[in-house]
Amino acid sequence: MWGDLTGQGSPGRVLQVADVVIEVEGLVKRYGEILAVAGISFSVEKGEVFGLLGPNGAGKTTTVECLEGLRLPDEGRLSVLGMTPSPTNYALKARLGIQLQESAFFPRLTVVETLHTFARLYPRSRNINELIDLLALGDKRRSLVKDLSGGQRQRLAVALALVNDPDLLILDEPTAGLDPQARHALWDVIRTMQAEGKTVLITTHYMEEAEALCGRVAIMDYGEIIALGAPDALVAQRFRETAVELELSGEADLDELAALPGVGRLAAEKDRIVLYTSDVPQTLAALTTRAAQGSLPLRDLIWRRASLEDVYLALTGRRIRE
Amino acid sequence: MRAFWGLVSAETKELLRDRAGLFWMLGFPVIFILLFGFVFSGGEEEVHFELGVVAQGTDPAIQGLLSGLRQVPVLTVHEGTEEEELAELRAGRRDGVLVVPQDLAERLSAGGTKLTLYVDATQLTGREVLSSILNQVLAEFEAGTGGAQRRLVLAQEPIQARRLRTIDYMLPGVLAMTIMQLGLFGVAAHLLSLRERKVLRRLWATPVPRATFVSAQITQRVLLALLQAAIILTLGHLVFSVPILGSRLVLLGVLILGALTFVALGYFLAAMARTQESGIAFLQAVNFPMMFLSGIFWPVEWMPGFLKPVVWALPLTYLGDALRQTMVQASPLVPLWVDLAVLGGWLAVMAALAVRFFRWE
Repeated sequence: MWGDLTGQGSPGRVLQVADVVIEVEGLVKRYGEILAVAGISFSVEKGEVFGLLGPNGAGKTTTVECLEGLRLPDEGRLSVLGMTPSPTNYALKARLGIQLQESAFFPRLTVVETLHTFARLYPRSRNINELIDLLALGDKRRSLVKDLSGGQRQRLAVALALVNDPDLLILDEPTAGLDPQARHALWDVIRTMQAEGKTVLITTHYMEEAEALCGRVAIMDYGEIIALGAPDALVAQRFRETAVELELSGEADLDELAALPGVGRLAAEKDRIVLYTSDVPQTLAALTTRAAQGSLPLRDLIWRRASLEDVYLALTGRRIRE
Repeated sequence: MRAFWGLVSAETKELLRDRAGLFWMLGFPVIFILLFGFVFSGGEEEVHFELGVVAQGTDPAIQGLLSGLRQVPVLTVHEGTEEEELAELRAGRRDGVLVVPQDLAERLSAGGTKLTLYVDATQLTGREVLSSILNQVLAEFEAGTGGAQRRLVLAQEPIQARRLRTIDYMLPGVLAMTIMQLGLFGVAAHLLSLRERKVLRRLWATPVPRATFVSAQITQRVLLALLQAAIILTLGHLVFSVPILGSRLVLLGVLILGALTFVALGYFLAAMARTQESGIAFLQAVNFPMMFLSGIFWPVEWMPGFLKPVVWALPLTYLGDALRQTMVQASPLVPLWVDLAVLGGWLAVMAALAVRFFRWE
């Protein structure tokens, strides 16, 4: 890339190279015998919302904690906003907005006092009242942190991640434990941040969250990235078919199901079976006929577009939430 | 500095809003002092004085004065040399020593003289009562010798005596105990809770160096220790007339050194404990021996011999001794500089171990 710039660039022409905000090369992190992150590489560009997706224990949190400078990697090279994260890289920490998966604040400070306290820990800060409005904490501003509900505490954690007007937001499971309404409200906050030009790295084990928010995702499993790309592209690479999900109340002959008209492949897991079909009407007709005859103990049936969930299932043979 | 004071203010609010913690830090020592003070002062304060009189010679004026003193029912008069009687006063066996000049009669006719009354400096009310009784005796005596004007002047000379009331002995001890418990529960238990709840972890994600956090916390705790001391000293002074006889500046220095030592001990203990739950049990295991073996409630001499090495190993022994010396000028266990040196040593060792072993997560 640099060769192009120096060799071909005509004088006066400014080449816009996308700024790389996060660069990870061969990150390895072990806890004793356990290999938490097994040599992963990815990069995030300025203005992206990038998702680390995977089940609990996949290594997502360890990865972000290395990026935040809370842990030092055993191997690999990290660059965040052009700097190397470390516990004492205060210049970097000043520009990061961090929400930790499990974190607490002084329990006997109020919401507004907590925000003011954290604002004083950073060189620059956003307007506290705007943050309170943004995260819908207005009627809780004088409540003590210990009296907040789980969802309110989570929103406070995100507000604190924004308090220093960061260039890069790193959110670790920000919507865990939120009800659907609060989750969608938080998605809007993240979209607002993206519109302001901030870069966002988010971890989640909600597939629909990654699909709704992220321009690109890295799917992690057992410390490795098993797929990386835009959610649509990841799905389209593997699935041209539609998914037909069956829930059964008894045994079924999987070979027979795989041979139904239109069905290209099948994924089975306990009493749930997903058929991937290129001909939905034919497949459905065959299924309902068998159910009516009593040869298929069908309890529930839905069909939907293939999603990241199917990508994960295809890659690992497991569902992400167990 | 913005971050530093932000953290000091956050920690202060956090502590002041913790009602249970506040009770243990401020309410408990106050109740303790009131309870002990009243229990030990009840009944014991029957008005009676042991008066030493130094009066050599057969001068009839002196004999007249002595018999006048002997007629006062609340006085027991002991005669002796100045040296003997002052030694008795220092040992706590006299409430006052009256020195009558040998040539009293001559001086009386020459127009008057000064009589010195040595009193125990710690007995703020007692010495005033004794002094007014003696003044009355002197006035009657003078009336008997003729003459309208007072010719004898009683001059109080407070000296350091060993006789301390229970409350005088105990109040500096309770203050020392309060500072020790601030280190144990106000620092160690608080740190364990912050660590367990991952508050510390979130703080490390901010661009605040750990040194800033630690210095903010130490500053806040030392200020709190001084507040505790102010409350305890004011209470002691107003309710039980416990004096501050030594230099207030030295007292302030001893309090700050003591607070720093026990804050460092708190950090060290928090470094040793793995979880909050085991930590609290551990802190109690340190708290109780310190409370009862450091001469806080009763003199170290009362302790059986086999416990003496433990007594001398505990830092609270030295803080209690230093505070007793500077507040009520109790007879020292060891010279003040030894107390301060031992506390300084504990501070250095605890701080070094805490820096080495403290785990932030």
